[in-house]
Amino acid sequence: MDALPNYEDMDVPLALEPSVTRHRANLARLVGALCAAGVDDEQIETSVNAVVASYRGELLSAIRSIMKSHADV
Amino acid sequence: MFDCKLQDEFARLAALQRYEVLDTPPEEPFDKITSLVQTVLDVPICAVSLVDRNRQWFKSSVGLDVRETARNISFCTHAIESRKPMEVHDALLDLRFAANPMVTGKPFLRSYLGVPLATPDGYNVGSLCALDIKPRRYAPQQIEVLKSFAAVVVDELELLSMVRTDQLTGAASRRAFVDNVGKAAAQFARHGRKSALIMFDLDHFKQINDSFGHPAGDKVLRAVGACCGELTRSADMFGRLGGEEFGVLLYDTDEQGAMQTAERFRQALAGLQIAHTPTIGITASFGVAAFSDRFQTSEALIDAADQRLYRAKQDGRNRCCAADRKAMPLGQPDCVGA
Repeated sequence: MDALPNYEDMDVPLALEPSVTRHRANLARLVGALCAAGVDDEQIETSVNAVVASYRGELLSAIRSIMKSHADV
Repeated sequence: MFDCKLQDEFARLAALQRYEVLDTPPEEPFDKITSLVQTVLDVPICAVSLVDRNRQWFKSSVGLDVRETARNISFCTHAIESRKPMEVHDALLDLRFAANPMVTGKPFLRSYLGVPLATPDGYNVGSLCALDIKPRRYAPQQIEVLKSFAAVVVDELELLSMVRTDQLTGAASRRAFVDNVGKAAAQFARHGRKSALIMFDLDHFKQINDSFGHPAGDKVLRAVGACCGELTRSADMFGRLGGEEFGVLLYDTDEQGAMQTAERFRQALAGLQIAHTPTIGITASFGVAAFSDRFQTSEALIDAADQRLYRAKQDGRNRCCAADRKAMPLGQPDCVGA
């Protein structure tokens, strides 16, 4: 399993940092739970990648929304 | 130990409403999670169930062919009464569920595992649940898996809520606002439910930015957000449509009522004194339209309100203009204001 994403490539605004921190902790917990439940590595990788991709997409929308709220004026 | 947030149904429903997720279209992040739970726990049915006042509504589900059920037959309404996962090994042996129509009839549920979806401030708005049509006991490790996925669901709900809220003003984002105008259009078409739209734009806002700088402009927008947020009825919606343009969606309101509300907003904004050196005062121009035979779609309504807003600007700003002359008291022009 690759290291969990830290979204360093994205300029995460302060308002979203608690969400990102919480999400990283929840991802780590999910990986641990899947391992403990005996789920195979491939399925764990698939699961985590799917969750990360979804969150990343929404995070990008949230960042755009926040940037836009200032840039619009 | 007594947990007051588990007993406070009013606050729980308010927390659910804050997400503005009920009756929204399916979204990939939630569908991925229900699909993953189905695979990992090897269950035929999984759902993200949000427990509304009288129903449970599924933001996502696999293995179910309905989007909602009555709350009084839902398993999840029991699951949200606790902080812990709820497990029903065999519904036929559980007095709460043995006569449940989803147990005695399709889809013939027999076992249930549900983890409450708790908001960061502690309200259980629904549950992530795994259901089977045979009796079943889950291993503690499997329960942990569902708990972990439930935490990810809440992450997504929180993030989605941030996307649907303008972070500067606290108003609904354009995306959320336009979605709701669309829903109001559907309700008008289906049930004839009247709704009206107010759109307004701050006058000479560019001058504020140019004269006092963008931080002062942000301060003005925040003040507008706070003022209009307070004036907006809890059932209605206040949104920022972009830049210095805002909208108020008024349910169960005709154009005449909307004009009265718009005038109240106009006066409140004109009375604002925004702390700055020197103090900043603002005005705004308003356009008003209501669903009618002329304006039946969200696009038509937004266009009509926008045109009246433009007219208010042309007529000298700091005024409200209606799309329909009949909205005005007899003998009055179709615009009112300073």
